[in-house]
Amino acid sequence: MLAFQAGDESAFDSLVKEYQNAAFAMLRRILGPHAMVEDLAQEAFIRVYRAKSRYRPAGKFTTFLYRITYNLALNRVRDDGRHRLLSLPQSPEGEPMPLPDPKAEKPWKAPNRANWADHVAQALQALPRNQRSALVFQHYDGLDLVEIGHILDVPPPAVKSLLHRARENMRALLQPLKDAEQDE
Amino acid sequence: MNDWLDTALDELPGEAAPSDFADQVHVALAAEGQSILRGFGFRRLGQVAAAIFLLVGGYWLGQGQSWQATRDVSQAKLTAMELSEIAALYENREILESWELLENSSLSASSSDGAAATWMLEAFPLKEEGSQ
Repeated sequence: MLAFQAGDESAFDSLVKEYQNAAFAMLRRILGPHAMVEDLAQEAFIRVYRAKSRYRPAGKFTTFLYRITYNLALNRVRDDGRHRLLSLPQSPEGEPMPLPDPKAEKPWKAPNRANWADHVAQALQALPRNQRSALVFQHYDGLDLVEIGHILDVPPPAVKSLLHRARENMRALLQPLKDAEQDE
Repeated sequence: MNDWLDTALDELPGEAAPSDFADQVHVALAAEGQSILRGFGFRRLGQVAAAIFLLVGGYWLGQGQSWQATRDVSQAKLTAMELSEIAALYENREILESWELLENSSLSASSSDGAAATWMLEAFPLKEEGSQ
């Protein structure tokens, strides 16, 4: 980014190629399987391009990119009113709704490596947005509390609390599937 | 701390960007640049059109006449009242100028000659009683 800021236009191309997969993966995990992430990722990199003169290397470039991308995603969800389409139904208190009963006969089938991914994606979407985002940034992108707080615009202790609740909720959601897997 | 939840989370794969994503970003940036230029062109064109409209409109409203401030009074069609007022102005100016000349010469005389303090009388002699 510093090279790009110094006038090297080809450095922007390198930035896009280096971070495009990270941006896509982050958007998919946070917005869910049905979201249109391509135009959001594209808009995020266009904003990075526009922010050339304003960029200050205070932290990792990833944090800078994720903050832009995350805010774009939030705006898109709010503007389109698509949050109900992008995540599973939630209780009025924002608590996660339970996954399908693993003991039910159909259409349930015992989890294996292939459909664990589906269950995890579904469970992630059942989390309240802040918890889901915090967990994604920590687990998949390896960001620390300060960096996550910078992206979500909350202080680090609040991030810690979000992560704790996210993990508890994920355990509650996935435990029955894990038990069912062990019973097989 | 790596427990079964972390193992489960690891099962969720990431998503790779399309192979031509970087090209798409460049195309979008180029298109955005052109639209900015187009917007700038339309704005400039509008400003030029507005300026021309103001000039033409102003000229039309003025009916092609020169500036009012440079009009020659002698060429204007003046009413009788205006002519008499102008004549009176000229007359008053003549009087004021003559007073000024008179006053200056009298002041210098009074300052140099103490006996000439009666310059007012010299300038404006009193009419003798009985004379018309």
